[in-house]
Amino acid sequence: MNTAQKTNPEAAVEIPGKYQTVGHPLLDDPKMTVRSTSVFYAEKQAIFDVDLDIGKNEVISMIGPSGCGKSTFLRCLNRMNDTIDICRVEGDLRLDDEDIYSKKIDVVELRARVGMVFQKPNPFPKSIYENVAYGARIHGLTDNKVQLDELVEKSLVRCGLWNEVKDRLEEPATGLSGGQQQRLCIARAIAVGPEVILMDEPCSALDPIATATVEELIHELSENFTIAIVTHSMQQAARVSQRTAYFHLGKLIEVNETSQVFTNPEHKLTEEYITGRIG
Amino acid sequence: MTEQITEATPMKDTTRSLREARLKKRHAAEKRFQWYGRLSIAFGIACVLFLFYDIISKGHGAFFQTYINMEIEFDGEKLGLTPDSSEEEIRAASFNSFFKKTLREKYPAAETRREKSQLYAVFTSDMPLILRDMVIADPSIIGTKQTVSMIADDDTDVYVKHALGTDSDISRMGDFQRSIVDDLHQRGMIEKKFNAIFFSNSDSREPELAGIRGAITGSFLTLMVTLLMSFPIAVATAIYLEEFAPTNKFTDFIEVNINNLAAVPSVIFGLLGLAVFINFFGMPRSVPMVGGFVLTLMTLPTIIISSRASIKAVPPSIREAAMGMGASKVQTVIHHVLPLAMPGMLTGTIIGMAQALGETAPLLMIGMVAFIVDVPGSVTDPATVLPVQIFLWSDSPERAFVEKTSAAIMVLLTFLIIMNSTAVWLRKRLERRW
Ligand SMILES: Nc1ncnc2c1ncn2[C@@H]1O[C@H](COP(=O)(O)OP(=O)(O)O)[C@@H](O)[C@H]1O
Ligand SMILES: [Mg+2]
Repeated sequence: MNTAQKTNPEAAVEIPGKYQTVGHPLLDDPKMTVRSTSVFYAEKQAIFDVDLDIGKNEVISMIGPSGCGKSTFLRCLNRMNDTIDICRVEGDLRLDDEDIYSKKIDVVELRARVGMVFQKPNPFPKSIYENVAYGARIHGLTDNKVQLDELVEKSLVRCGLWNEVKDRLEEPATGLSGGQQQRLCIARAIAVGPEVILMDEPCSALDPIATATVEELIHELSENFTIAIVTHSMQQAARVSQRTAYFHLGKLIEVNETSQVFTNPEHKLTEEYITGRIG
Repeated sequence: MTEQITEATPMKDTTRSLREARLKKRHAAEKRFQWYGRLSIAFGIACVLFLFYDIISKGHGAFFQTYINMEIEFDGEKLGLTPDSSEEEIRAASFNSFFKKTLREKYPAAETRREKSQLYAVFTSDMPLILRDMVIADPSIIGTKQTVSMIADDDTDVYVKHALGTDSDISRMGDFQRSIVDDLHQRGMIEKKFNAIFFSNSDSREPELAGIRGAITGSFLTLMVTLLMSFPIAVATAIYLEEFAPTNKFTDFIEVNINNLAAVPSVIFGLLGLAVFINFFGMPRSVPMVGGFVLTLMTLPTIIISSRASIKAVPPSIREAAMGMGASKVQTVIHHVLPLAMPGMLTGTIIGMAQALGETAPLLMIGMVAFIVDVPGSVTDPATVLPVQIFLWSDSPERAFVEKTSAAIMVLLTFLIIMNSTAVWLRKRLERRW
């Protein structure tokens, strides 16, 4: 921390007023658009005026030092921040051109369309079957048990979990290994047929082998879903994502093709981060 | 820090011996502390054992009752009845004089008034009524001889249990009565049987006829009212405060007050119940409904506090998972939080109910201390409860009530132990969940 050659990150990002995100934050024909978005926890601002597009069927990763607001930003996208009393979101966020913060949008519906996977695997302390079936039940997606069984099987198959759990669907999900639990959480999220899946450091609680399995799964899912993933592992970002967004102290510094971000970053801060000088 | 170390290095041996001395002290202190703990636990166990020994040694006798098996001739002439007599005729007959006459014939030695009354006093004063009920139940016994298992009077009972064959004079019996009991004993007519009366009768002025059925029923009805009122209210309050209420001055105020309420002496709740339910709403006195309301006020804070604690203990990640799936707040609570918090809530409820079961003071305030002979049939019948019954008996002068008191305490403790063990069991199950 006290090495002389390291630039003080706070001083470096001191751009008064509107700062400019470098790279290509905006896209043609995006799935989600985020404009002039700021987030506050009570008086404290956690996200500063971010503009970003998330493309159809792309995997975009968000990286940055811890506490820079990655989770906060991600949670804006399905309004999970609504559950925090002191949290206030400003700006214009759209999913397929629909303002997701407008009064007409029901968060229940929104969260069915924008699913979420959390850092720590958090299966419900119920059976494996019930975990996957839960979303379908509350959203009324199936009419009968046969359809529900099918949906559960399909979701588990897609997450590569079916063969591992098909004989123990009625057993508690908490008995699965960490990696299996996380894949179950992904199965649970895709069972309701979302368009976008948000993942907040989905592998940080997993061992390397489980991480590899989940990364492979993310890769497969990207064919059908738009995925926004927060990660603290640059290797992971490089492996799974097409675009990478670098956050720094609540500001979106740079958005570019992943390969470019890791080989030829445009912004000084990004470079310092990926070369390990900030972190 | 650095200076100390450099200074100490040349005196390695002294530091070591210093350290060793210090270590010894520390070990000694640790040992001492462990012994304090052991001693206090031993003291606690000794107190409990003494309490149990005292109660059981005093109370076990109450589970047995002395009976006197005596042959009685239901002489139709003496009774003025025939086997064909109607129930009304039987009711009108004087079983009192019949019973006394029968006894006098068996013990002609009773000549003076005093001796005669001592003879009658060997048996419970309800004996003529019991004989009448026997005849009503089966009139054909008129004109036959029957061996009747007659309930002994409490003095006889105490004498048989504690003084028979010894010189001690612990009962209030006269010499003549004593000689009769000794005689009955010698002739093998005295028998100690399981005291079913204690469980099937309600309170009575006669110790040998007094039982706890009324009090148990009263306790049960009162607790039911308490449970039905307090559980839903407390759970709803806890859920609202934990999951829905905004954190502001007002909810802080409510929280502080709930915690304060838990510390209010229960007798105050009794006074409140008296003022509100009886004087203001005009509800009847001495009834389980009002008792239940008062105990609800008393147990609410207990259940609310433990329910909130068990809701708090549900990991936030579960709520996040449910909300992230698109569950509404209410769905999250009902589908996920409540099932996980329920064992803890039930534990708190059972502990609250156990408190309520043992509570006396507030019930005295609303008149549940009356002498009530009938078993209450509903929550609006006058009733008493087990701890109040204990209180009443412990206040009675008859020696026989001493063992009744202890026996009733044993029954109450049994209920409390069962309830608390259930609570512990539930808590264990809760722990096993995650
Ligand atoms: N629930 C919250 N209440 C108050 N401040 C919060 C809350 N969550 C996050 N923050 C603050 O917002 C900032 C960004 O946090 P977060 O989004 O969790 O960062 P990251 O996920 O990048 O590590 C941090 O300074 C953090 O202290
Ligand atoms: Mg985070």
